[in-house]
Amino acid sequence: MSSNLIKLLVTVVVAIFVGYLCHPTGLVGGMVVGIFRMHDDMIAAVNAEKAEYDRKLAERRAALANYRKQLAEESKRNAVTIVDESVGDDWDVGFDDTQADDGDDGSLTSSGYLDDTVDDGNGFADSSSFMVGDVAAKLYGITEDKDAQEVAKQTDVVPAVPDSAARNEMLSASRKLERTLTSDYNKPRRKPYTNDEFLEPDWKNPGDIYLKLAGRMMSKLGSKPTPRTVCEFLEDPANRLDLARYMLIRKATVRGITEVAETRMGPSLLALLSSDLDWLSNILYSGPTDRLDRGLKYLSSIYARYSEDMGDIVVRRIAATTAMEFAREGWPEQNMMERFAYYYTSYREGKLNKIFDTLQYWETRLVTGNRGYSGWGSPQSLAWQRDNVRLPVEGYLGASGQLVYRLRNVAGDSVFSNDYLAPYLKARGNVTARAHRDIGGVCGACSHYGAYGALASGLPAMTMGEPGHCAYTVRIGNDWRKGYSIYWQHSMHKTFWGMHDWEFLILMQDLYTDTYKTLAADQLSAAAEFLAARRMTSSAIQCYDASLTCQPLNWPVWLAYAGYLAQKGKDNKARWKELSERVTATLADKFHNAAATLQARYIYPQLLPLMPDLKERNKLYVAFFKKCKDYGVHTWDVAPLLDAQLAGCTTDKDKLSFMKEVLPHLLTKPAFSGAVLAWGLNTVNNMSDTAADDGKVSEAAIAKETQLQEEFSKIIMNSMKRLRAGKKDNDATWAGLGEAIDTAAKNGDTRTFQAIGKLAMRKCKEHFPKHRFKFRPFKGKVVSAKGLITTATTLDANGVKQSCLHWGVLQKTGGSIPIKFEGNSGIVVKLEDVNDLTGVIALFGCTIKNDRPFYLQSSEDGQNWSNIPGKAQIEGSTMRFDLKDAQASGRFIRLLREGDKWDSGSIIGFYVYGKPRKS
Amino acid sequence: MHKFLFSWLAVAWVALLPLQAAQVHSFNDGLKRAGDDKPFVMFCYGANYDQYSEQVYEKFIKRNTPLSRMVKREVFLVVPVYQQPTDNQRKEFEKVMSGRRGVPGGIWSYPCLAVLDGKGNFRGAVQSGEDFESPEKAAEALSVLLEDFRKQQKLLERAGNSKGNKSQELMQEALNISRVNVPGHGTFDPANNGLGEKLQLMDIVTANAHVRSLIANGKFTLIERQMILVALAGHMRRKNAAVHRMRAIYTEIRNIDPNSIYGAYADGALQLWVIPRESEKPAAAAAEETKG
Repeated sequence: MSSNLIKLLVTVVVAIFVGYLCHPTGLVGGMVVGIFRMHDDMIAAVNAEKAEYDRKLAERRAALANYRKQLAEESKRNAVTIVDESVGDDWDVGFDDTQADDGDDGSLTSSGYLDDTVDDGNGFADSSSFMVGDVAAKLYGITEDKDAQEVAKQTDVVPAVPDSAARNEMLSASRKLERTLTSDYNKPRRKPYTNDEFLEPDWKNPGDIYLKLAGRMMSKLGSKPTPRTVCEFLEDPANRLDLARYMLIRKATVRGITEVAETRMGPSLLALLSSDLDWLSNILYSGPTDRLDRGLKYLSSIYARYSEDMGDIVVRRIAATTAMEFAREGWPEQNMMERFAYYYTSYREGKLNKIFDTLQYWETRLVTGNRGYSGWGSPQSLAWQRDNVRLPVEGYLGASGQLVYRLRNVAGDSVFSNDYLAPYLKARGNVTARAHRDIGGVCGACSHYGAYGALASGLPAMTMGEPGHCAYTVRIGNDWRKGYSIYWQHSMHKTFWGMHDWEFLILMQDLYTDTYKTLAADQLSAAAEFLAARRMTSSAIQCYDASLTCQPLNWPVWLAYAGYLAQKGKDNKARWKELSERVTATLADKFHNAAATLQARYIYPQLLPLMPDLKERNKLYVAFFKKCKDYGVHTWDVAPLLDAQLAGCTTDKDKLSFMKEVLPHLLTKPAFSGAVLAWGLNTVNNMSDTAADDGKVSEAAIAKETQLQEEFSKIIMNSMKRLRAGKKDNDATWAGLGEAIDTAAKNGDTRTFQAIGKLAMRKCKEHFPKHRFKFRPFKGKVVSAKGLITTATTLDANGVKQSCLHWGVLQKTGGSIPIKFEGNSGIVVKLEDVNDLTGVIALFGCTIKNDRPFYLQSSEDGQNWSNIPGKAQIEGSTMRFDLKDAQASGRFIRLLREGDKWDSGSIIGFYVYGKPRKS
Repeated sequence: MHKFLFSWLAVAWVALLPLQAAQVHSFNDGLKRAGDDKPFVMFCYGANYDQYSEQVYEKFIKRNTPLSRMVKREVFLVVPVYQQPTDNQRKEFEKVMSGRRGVPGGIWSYPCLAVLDGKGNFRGAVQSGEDFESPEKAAEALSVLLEDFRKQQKLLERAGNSKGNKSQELMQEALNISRVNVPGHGTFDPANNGLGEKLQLMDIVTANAHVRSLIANGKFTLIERQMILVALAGHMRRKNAAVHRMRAIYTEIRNIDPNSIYGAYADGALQLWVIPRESEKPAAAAAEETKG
């Protein structure tokens, strides 16, 4: 029962009692009189309250009008400067005093603000161009408030790179802020900081609030804010709340807030939200805030229905995170309400895992914002998993095993068709998880079952793509543990920053685990954005700098800083170089992939044109690679970084110089050698393709191609020499060569395939088998030994390492290549030339599944295939095709099998007999 | 008065003794007491992470409910399952499970009432959210499971004591009790043993004959028969078999056991693939029916 109702009841009882005592007509009369008296009292109280409120409101309006008048006068004085400093229409989405006066009482109407927000057609304003704090906008820099004055002539002044003393001061100031936040949040019996300065009616004009907050903060920060003064400013919770309120309006836009304020409970929500520092901070600093205006609308819809429960901080957390994530993902409100209701009810009924109660906002966003609001993420399916797959958190890593793996269901329908589940769903209702548990599924269903089991219980988890596979991850403690994973490459299905690699998940975890350091850094970053919007460039840059000095793992702040620098200091080589070096010195300590991505995507494109000296560049690159002793957090793809570095080289000579100077630093590291070899092969291949792009293969082009190949081979060979010593290095060489030969095979590059195969045989002979096969040969020569062989099997990381054995399959000593026969997929051999074929022998490393016929096809181009007549003769594990009378020829031969997939086993020898065609 | 009260208390304690004696405190003790014929019931619950599990333990098992009365009549063990256990919790778990580090396979959710035999084989479980809606429902589900277990145990024992066809018949009867697993008996799965692939090469008539003879000659449980027929029905559907044939086979599958997964599947298939076709061409279908 609510407290208001209790108060009312008590008042009624007291009124009856008093009436009874005072009135001669007894109980009933007393009741009536008492109730009338109570009613009169209540009306009087409400009137008094309203009068007081109106008075306060009038005072505030007067103060605001006065402030605006001052601003307008100041604006007139600086009119010329403002026009000159305007960053153009593309950026100018802040305030424009000139068109905002509604003429009534001197106050600004909301229609005057943010005039260039675009409706996305769904009734929501697309505020992406205004959401500077978000990733997309980072690339374009900061939008400035139109009313911002040029304080202390800071516009476009990029400060000098701070020396070590200045950086130490930044660090000590930010550490002090961090300590203050830590002690604030960990006080015994702590009460969250609240201040209800802005009441419900105030939110009808969010522009006024915005101006007031900006003015107040500027007056406190002074004309030349430094990181130290900003940190001191932020130590006061009242200032943090002001900054958060400012950011709320800035990110949601004035129009967005106005629209929220027009909803039934919007003003009440905004008043509540803006009065509570904890809630507001949690919303703003727990991840991206894309489409915050829509998020607030969603939140106001929840608030309208569940306002009485919003006192519970867990309900508040569920509401805010669900609203934010659904808005960010662009999912419909109806589904958002269903998702909220699911977690709300489950929490109320005590059906979520206890871990859920202690999650922070960012973690809760991963849970309540789980992907897919229908199917696995539907309330029905989540509820079923919650009630039927209730496990301790570690149990979810094995939960995928509850499903039977069936590519085709019992009826023979493929998992990729609707018929797979349709009859079951029709009979037992649309509960995806239950249907898959009863009917079966493949990797996708198994992984979703495991991940969504955890999510249904309120535990952070997500599915992830792997090449040709689906896996998942569940967080146990602070560790993300993998389930059903078979490959190193993971593409996370839920991200905050649009970065799908595994390393970014770990980066996000580490970032938010360091709660107060990150909160301090986020506050500094918000202050930087505020200062940037107020056109205080120098202070803004220093604050971004301080934020990253405080917390170098803050990926979105790196982007914000780089974006702002691109806007204000595009040609400032010293700053860009320092930024690159700082990424190498700090972020690259642990997160090589994130650091490489930052360099390749956001720093090199700005820095390299300012740095023409090849040696200086190579030094920068080498410094980065020296930091990468191994892969760091997780295996990553080094190719995009090398591509970005190579893109800075304009001539082939520069490119080769880059390869000679930089690549050996990577090739000597076992973790990178294979990937770099593969990258080099691809690059040289593409460079030679360019040479032949004119359609004719000129002698010069051939010479160029040969030279490139030779140069690159020299680099490889020199580096390989260094990889000789020790068993561990030998294994690494084997793995590296495996990765390289796999790339060559994928590229169809027979020459490299053969070269690496031979190199592997020389350097890692012990890895090859020593078969002595005995079989009757066919007439002619073995024409496949100098060819290239590929399989339809998707190789996992270990499989790739063993790829040199594929080359061995074509040699007389034998090797091993995994098989997969399904439809037109099988084993393909590319010969050196077009040959007339006399026979094919395939030696299997397993019992041949011969319930379906095998057959051969040939092709001259690898695209158009024709069947070769003739039946396979199978004896034990040997398969022979006698093609004496088949009159078959071709450059490509492929072995196929009819019927369903067969993919368990390997081929250890494959020999094509024939003779080169005379023509 | 004191004497009287004391005597009654003593009588009550003695009367309850056999029931209390059935509750065991370790897994091995439970196995020993279950012996060759009795079921061993384990109540596993989430002890430090799952409020709902703890409530079920408190309200269903510890209090006097139909379920608590029922489990006390059986060989019964309570197993607290911990999330990220501390050393002490791990030790406690291992003590209860007589040194084992996990619960038997087949337990998919907590709270759970698992039924094992005296050899430690997992035979069945009450573990769905629906079953744990109330102590009465859970008791009812457990009672059905225990009854099936006892029936199956008797059949297995008789099958073991008989020879030839009689033994096979009894074994078949035991296997048909679908709620309880027979140890060491894997399910025949047409999706994974090549039956579907074989049928692909056959026309409808040959496929039907093949499946019928397979069922007639093989020893299949009810659910296996349903699965084999589902494979045949899938093949027929893809070969565009006449609608009356589709109705006949899906009805046959459903009627074998309407409550099983494939009973439901067949029911859905009728609604999805048969009834709409029948309503499309009622006259033609009727004519086909007559011919058939």
